[in-house]
Amino acid sequence: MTEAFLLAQAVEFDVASNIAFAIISIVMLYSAFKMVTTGNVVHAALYLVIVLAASAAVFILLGSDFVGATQILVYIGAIIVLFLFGIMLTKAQLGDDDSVASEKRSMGALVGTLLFVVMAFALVDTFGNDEINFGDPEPIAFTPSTVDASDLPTPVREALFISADAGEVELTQAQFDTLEPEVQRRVPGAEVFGNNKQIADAIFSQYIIPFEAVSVLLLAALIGAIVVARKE
Amino acid sequence: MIGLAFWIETTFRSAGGLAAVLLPAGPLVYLYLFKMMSFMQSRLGPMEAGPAGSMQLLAEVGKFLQKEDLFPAKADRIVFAAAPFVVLVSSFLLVVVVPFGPDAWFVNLDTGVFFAMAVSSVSVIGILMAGWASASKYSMLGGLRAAGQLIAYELPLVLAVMGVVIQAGTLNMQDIVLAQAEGEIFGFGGIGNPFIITQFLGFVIFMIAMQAELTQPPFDMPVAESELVTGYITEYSGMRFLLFFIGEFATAGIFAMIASVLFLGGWWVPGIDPDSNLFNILGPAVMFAKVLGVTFLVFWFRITYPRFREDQLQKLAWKVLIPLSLLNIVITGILKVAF
Repeated sequence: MTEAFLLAQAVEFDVASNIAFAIISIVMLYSAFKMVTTGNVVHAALYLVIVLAASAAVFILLGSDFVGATQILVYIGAIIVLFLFGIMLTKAQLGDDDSVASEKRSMGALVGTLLFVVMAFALVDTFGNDEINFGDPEPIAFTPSTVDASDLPTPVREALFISADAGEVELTQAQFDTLEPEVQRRVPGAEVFGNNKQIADAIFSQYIIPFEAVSVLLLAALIGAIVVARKE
Repeated sequence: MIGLAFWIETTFRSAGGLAAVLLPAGPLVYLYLFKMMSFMQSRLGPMEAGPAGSMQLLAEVGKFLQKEDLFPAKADRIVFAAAPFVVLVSSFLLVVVVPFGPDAWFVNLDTGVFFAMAVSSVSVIGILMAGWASASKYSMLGGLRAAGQLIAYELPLVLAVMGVVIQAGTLNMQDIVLAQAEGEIFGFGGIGNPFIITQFLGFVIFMIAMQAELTQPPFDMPVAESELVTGYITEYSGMRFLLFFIGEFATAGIFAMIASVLFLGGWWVPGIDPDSNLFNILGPAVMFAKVLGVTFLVFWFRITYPRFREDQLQKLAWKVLIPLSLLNIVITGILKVAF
């Protein structure tokens, strides 16, 4: 159970990634702590920016840059900006604000601890034995086809020793396997099954109904907000 | 390609990133802000420092470095001091995904354009920080105006890019350049298929939204000098003011790079094989030429048009640009499926 907490279980122990992860987590934990203890609302929002940026960095570290970029776009670029916008339009005094959650702290700490225990248990129980592979090469699918040699990109032709005026050539799986991944993705008929494609495939096939339901829900919330805010 | 040690490669790429952010800013200020603006207003512009005033920029930087770094008495010192750096970091993160040649890139992310659009929104935080921490009403109003404007124009910016992404079939900036280089227009591949031809509407929307994102006139309500002194920059002096100033023009250069990658074929010029090693040397120069072209348009509009009103600005974004860019996506999608 204890080793489940360590990344050392990963097949290839990636020192650089682990050091980066440690630095990011320390910054993240410190900012998260300061966020709930600081006496100034704007400071709290700015600490939240650091926390969210750090979690985006962790996603990017795990090779999931789409989720990381989404985290930045949605949370930092939109939600926090609206937070700051709202705070600054209403009350944004400089210096400490004594009314910020003084007597509710112990309650908050209790909820936080409970949430931590539940989530930590759920995560360790579910993913405790999974192995993390940093920087796995993306799988590239290939369907053998006949193409005109002049249509092939130069690196592909050079690697396979095909001259530009060879006319119609047949590309086989065996030839494809000898290529470097950087060159493989340039071959006509090759399809990269990267993170983006996997996420897109999952959202628009397996999870299409929840996805559409969420967008309708958001639309309803949007219209509701306008109705509530506008008093004729 | 020669194999280099990881840290050497990283050092090279970091130095390249610094150069790519800071180098275009100087020529842009001198060529357009000092000289073109002066000629358009029938005056000579700076003439004393160096031949035709070309050293004026160094003189300006020297002047700002000597000035005192003032903090307003009631300011939130840490947030006030950090704000210009947040804006600058946003520019540095943007340049990371821009390719300058077949192998001359910083990071070849699969989500290139999407990442660029995401990090471009970080600068809003810096501007809000500056506006709030200055403890001044002008700064505060400027910061809020800037945030409202940047949120409104982020949408058309992202939606305009979608057309290019659908047509190229990829988010990767390098692959978008290659898609244009290897593309054909009705079977004629002589000039490739720069997306400015097929995505002209997208290009126009992108340029307008970019002008607003850069808060260049006619979209300069956040710094409107006749109403707000200089908005969120009002209380800044010396080095920190200079950082904001550099950030403004560096970001203009980087947005122009992104525009030229998306619509003008990036580092590629017609007539040379895009896989040729020559482009690792020629690419940055080609990019710079295209950046000068795109920023010429930006500054031309900056100098020509008077400022919008706040309501006109919001109307333009929500009632004109966003519907048009959605229309562009629908048309591009239909044509993509049809052909």
